[in-house]
Amino acid sequence: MAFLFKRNPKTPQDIVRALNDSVLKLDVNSDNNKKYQDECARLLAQVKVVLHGDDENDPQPDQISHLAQEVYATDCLYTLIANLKKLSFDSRKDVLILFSTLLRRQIAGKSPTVDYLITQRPEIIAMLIKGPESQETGLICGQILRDCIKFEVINKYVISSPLFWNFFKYVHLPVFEIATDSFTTLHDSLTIHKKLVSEFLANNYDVFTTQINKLIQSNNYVTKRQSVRLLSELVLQRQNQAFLNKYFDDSTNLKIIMFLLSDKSKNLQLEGFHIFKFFVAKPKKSQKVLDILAKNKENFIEFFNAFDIHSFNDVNLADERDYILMEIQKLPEIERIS
Amino acid sequence: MFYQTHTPITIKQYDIFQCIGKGNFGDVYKAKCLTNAQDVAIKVVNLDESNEDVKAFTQEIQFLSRLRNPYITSYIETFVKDFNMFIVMEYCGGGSCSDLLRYAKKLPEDIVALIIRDVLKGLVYLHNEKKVHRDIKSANILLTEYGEVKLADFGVSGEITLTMKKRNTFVGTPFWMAPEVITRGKSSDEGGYNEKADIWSTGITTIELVTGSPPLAQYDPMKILFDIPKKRPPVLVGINFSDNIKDFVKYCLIKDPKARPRAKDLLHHQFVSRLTGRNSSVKAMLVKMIRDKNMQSLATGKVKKPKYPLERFVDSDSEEQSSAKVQWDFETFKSEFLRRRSSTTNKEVYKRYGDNYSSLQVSASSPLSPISPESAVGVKPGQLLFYCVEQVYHRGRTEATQRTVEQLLVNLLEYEHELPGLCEAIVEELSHVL
Repeated sequence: MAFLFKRNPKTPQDIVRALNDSVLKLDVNSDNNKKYQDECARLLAQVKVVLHGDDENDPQPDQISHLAQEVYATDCLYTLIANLKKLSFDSRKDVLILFSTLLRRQIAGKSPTVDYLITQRPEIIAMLIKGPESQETGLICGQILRDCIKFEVINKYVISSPLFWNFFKYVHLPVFEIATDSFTTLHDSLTIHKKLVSEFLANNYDVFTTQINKLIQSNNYVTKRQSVRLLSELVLQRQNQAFLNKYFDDSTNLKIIMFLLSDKSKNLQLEGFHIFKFFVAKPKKSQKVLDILAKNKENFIEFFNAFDIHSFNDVNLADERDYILMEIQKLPEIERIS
Repeated sequence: MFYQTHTPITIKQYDIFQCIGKGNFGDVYKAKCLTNAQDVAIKVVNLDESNEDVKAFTQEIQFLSRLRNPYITSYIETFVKDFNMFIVMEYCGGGSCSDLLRYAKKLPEDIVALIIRDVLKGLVYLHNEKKVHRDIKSANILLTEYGEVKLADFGVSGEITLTMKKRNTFVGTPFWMAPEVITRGKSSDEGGYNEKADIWSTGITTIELVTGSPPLAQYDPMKILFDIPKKRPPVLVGINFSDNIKDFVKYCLIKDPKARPRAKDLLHHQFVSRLTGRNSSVKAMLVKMIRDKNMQSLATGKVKKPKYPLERFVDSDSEEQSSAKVQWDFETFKSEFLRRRSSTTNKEVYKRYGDNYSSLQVSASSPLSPISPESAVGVKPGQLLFYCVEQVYHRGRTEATQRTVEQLLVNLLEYEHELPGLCEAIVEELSHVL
């Protein structure tokens, strides 16, 4: 590779400019498309060498800096993401490498790429959010977006966008890996920056709860498991207090969780229990929640006595179950009209 | 919205034949895709069997779908039915190298060189993708009828089986494991091992293919688990073997992973590089051997028995997704509505509600019941509609509005009585639109 590099003394600026030109020439209907795809692949490989070096060369900070400047100045990231589908399978992965490396690059504690994305080209973020709509590039976009939302400002941009709610649809897409990848992005955008998320959940209680409840009631076992797990994580976050107060007062939520308790799947029963216990343990319960709990007192006692906790290898589970059972037994008796 | 041409994938698109392998997490079946007549291998994984987060499984599938290389079995698609995940992969008609070994007892050096060369090519790609296979052995090297060599069983089975084995009892055989894997644990970010572990396993596999078994195979696997890190690396000896193969094995089995060569370095080793020029004749030998083996196994008609019966997922269409073991009682919104209604002046409406609603709640025999008492177990779609209309009632600002909505609810109840399932159908349609 070293002699290749010497024989081909392109500056990082040259590489980026040539890459932009080649990407814009890509056209699936053209006979020359393969030629330009190969050209893009070659240039992206050179970009990779500038960023990460190869067997003989270590990456040079000044070269990387020139490359980054040129990428921002020419809107190269925009061009690449907008034309991602036209690039070859392996080139798309190189775009991911370029994007992620630039994101991580910091100057004086700040990522210039993050600034660029937020202030100059938020369209790129919107394109990434819509990534799952394409089967070919969904996974790459998902991965780039997850690298982006590690930065709080971008995470904020993403969850504030109306497009964010699309993820609740994407998780139902028929292509398994795209659907689950979308779920990973949804999960990350609601779990990494705790304070940001607590505000988001407090402000969007209704929409969020409706959406997550829909996922929990999905027919797809994987969607169900993932969404209950996400909810469990959110419930355990003390920062989410405002959201939790509303959530555990809402009897609709209680009903949905009770259905999990009686699900055929052992794992869903367990996940359900880890949310259900908070409904019971909450000191001041809403009237509606209290009504349902009291009404089903006998059911619960029967259910928890049969609850197969041994298969889960969890030492705390027995204690928790006993505590919940005790709380349930304290509930008032309800007179039934019969 | 999108993927309009892409209908959801189901088991119905595949014709499942016999079981061709079994693993801890499920069996592998040969199947034919009904839309394009392509043969495929389907791995069935029961997701509810373990407490493992489904994330471990989905991440591996995502990884698999990002691999495209001729030396790696390609991923086709995945679908979910009930608790099972069906992973559809390319089918390799030549079986595994371990099958071939069972038939031939040991393989000639040239064929081994060809197989190992292609394994190395697969590893170069995999390691370039920052992935460690972790489980290179003859059983995980598959062959096509045309003598192509493909790595299989990493990711979904490899990674997950490894973590699971760690949790439960140790069930694997450690003959192929690099010393650092045994001493340092699972992954490189825990200070564990890296892709060099695959090189060690490739060396052991070379010995396995050319002699018929990995070194130390005669001992108890649990015992040698502790011996491998202590002992000197195995060596290939014997006048039957060339210096080339002995030297190749020696390089693979360098104990210090840092000093051990990479896959792309080993491709230049004489043992594999001297195949150049003779490639097609060696491949022809391999193809013939595969064909003979396939003929024999066809003649003996041995069929692997799946660990889990196939009917379990094939004929379960009619089965209910979730059976409510507990009959939860969710009547609060109705009874509250009744309470509130009773304080208003519209006694007549109350009475009509009362009949219908209480019949929901109490008696199974009531002929008036618009929805059967069994369905009162949960918030059935039909009841949802009543609930929503009730919410709309509460939103009504004037008495007149509320009266109209009330009337709507009464009418709905009557229509539902005449045409049971009507409300459910409406809700279903609504949810489709939403």
